[in-house]
Amino acid sequence: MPDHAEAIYLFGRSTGAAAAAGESESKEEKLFNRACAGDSDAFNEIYRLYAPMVHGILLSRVSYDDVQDLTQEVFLLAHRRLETIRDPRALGGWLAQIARNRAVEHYRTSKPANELPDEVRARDEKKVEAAEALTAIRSLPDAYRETLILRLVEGMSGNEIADRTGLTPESVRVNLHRGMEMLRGRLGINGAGR
Amino acid sequence: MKDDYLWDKSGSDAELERLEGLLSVYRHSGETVARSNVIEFPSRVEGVRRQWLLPMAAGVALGAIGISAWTVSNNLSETGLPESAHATMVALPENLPVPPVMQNAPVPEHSTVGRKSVIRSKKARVSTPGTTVASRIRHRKRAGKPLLTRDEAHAYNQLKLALSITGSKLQIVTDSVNGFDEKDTNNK
Repeated sequence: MPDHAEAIYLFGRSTGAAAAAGESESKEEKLFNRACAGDSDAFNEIYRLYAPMVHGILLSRVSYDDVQDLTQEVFLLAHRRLETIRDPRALGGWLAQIARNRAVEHYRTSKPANELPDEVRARDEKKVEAAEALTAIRSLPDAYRETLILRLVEGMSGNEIADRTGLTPESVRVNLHRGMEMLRGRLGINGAGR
Repeated sequence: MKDDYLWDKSGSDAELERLEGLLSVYRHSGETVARSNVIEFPSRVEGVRRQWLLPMAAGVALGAIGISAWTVSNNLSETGLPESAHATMVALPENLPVPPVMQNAPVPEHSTVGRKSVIRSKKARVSTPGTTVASRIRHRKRAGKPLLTRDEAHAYNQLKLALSITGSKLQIVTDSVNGFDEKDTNNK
């Protein structure tokens, strides 16, 4: 089975992880209920919790220049449709899917880009290197690149990625490990330090 | 162990740390400032309230229609006609064209075909609630006068015109069929 297909197979949904989260899950449930009731502070707190995830998912798909605007759009859309969620524990996965759909729609509706690739526009060496790394991550299969961007760019731990996206910790661990292996190959990083 | 660092940042991994440093320029900067990056979302309470506006508006509209209907029925006169209609009754024109197919049709009692009819009402009558169409017709018959309002007269004229057109077309069809039959007979 090709790697990316297996990654997609493992890109499953967690039903037990959220329940096992205990106090943090109930906090999110409370936030969700308050936000549905019209508490803007509660929704702003949801934004703070999930914006890095949404930002990372969008960054894995669209140009960095568009990510910030699309992040705002995702949350505005989520704010309007919050009541359509039946299970508060599915909030993270729901937001993630909105972000992916928005990225696809962005490509459909935006004009053909004449902009320069990130690594060409970057002037200093570090920025060029960063742009190359980002390009390499974006070339990976969907499940790997999302998870790696959330880990390496947004700085989220494996457990945080699982909590926010609704994936099982096992799926996240596999995606991180295999994705990193592929990334090392593409960047030519020596894996001897393992 | 690298896996641990990749998973939960425990231990150390020079390559990963360097990569994280490079890629941090793309990181979402939301956590650094408390409120300046917070989106000003529209009030959800207003949105919830708006959901009730449509049913309320529909209810008000239905109520207005019901009140109007009740008011109209209360305003009908004893004759069953609206009071305003008494001032607008008209005489039917003479010699309305009658299509051939209707020439032998029985003329209804309240019809004024071929007869001059002047309808006047000299005074308004007290309206009674719940007056029906049947009672209006009965009253007209008792009064012995054909009474048609302007609207009824117009509708009657329209109906006559439509029947006239239909009758003409039927006549055309009849003539063409008869003419066809004669040809067949001659050819035999």
